[in-house]
Amino acid sequence: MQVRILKVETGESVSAAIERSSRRLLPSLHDEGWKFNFASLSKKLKNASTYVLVTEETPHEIEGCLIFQLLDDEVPYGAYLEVAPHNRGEERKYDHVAGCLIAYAFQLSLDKGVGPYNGQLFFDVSEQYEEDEQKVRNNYLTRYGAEEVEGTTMKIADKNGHALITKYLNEGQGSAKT
Amino acid sequence: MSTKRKANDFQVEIGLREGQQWDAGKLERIKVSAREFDSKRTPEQRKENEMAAIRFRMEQYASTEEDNIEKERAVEDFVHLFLTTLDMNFKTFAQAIESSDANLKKYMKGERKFNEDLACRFGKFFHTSPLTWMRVQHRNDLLELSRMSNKRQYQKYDYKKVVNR
Repeated sequence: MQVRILKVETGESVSAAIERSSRRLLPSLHDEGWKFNFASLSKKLKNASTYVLVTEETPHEIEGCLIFQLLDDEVPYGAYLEVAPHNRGEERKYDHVAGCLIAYAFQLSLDKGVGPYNGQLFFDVSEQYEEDEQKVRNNYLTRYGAEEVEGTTMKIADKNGHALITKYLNEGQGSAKT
Repeated sequence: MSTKRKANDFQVEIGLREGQQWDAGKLERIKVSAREFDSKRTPEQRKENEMAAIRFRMEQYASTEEDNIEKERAVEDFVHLFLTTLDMNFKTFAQAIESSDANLKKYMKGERKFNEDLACRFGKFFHTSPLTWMRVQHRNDLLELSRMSNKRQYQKYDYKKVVNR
């Protein structure tokens, strides 16, 4: 899927794509700054598919990574999501990488979620320190329209998910905003 | 858009620590809460979700390389999916976009070429990008081209046969 992300240095919107990763070399713990071992997780998890976000300009460099799972063959679950180390902090290269991947995961929940679970994307935020965990949770509550479910688990559903699609994905599809 | 944000804004990692996962009890509790949530959905919300899923499938189809397409889907197929979700018949749809049932069917059956004007009408009506409709048509044109180009009747055309004669 074609998307647009923001090049922070120039403020310009650049073309990017979210692609299903089958043969691509995924980030692992050997890659500096990545928290999750996507290479290993994508092989281990059941009913999981892995997606990467890359720009047209540098298609071999992964800007962000997502593993989407269907728990029990029916419940949509954002198992892992992380943006590349160079897209974090004040000196980050691109903005909107996480937003695009979260919105995409919600779309997958609409497409693949079965029956009543359709359009409900569950995920967990789990950090080593409680203070860090709360910061991440707050980001999801305030920026991405998530709600608390149980313990570390949160979810994005229905209208809040559609708002993410409008904000982060429709621009890449031409004038889809209605 | 402002790019001045706090360092905390960049913390977005999702995922349990490696090796951790929900146990059966938690999965069941989540399922119960999800079903309860679903039971309170309005018909409009369900429709909105289904429409968004069809838009996504269209986009996926339009983005898939010809070699990886498992089943060809015509523009008509996506129209049918949308109309079924909206519980609307083809005639009502045709009238709503200022066409006629008979005229629109000619486009759907390929007797007339699907064009930019229709893509814009379909796009506005179904809240989709006109580009996506055109890309679906384009994808199917390329599929047809790949089928045609292998036919024997075209093998005889070769500039070398003319130049080296």
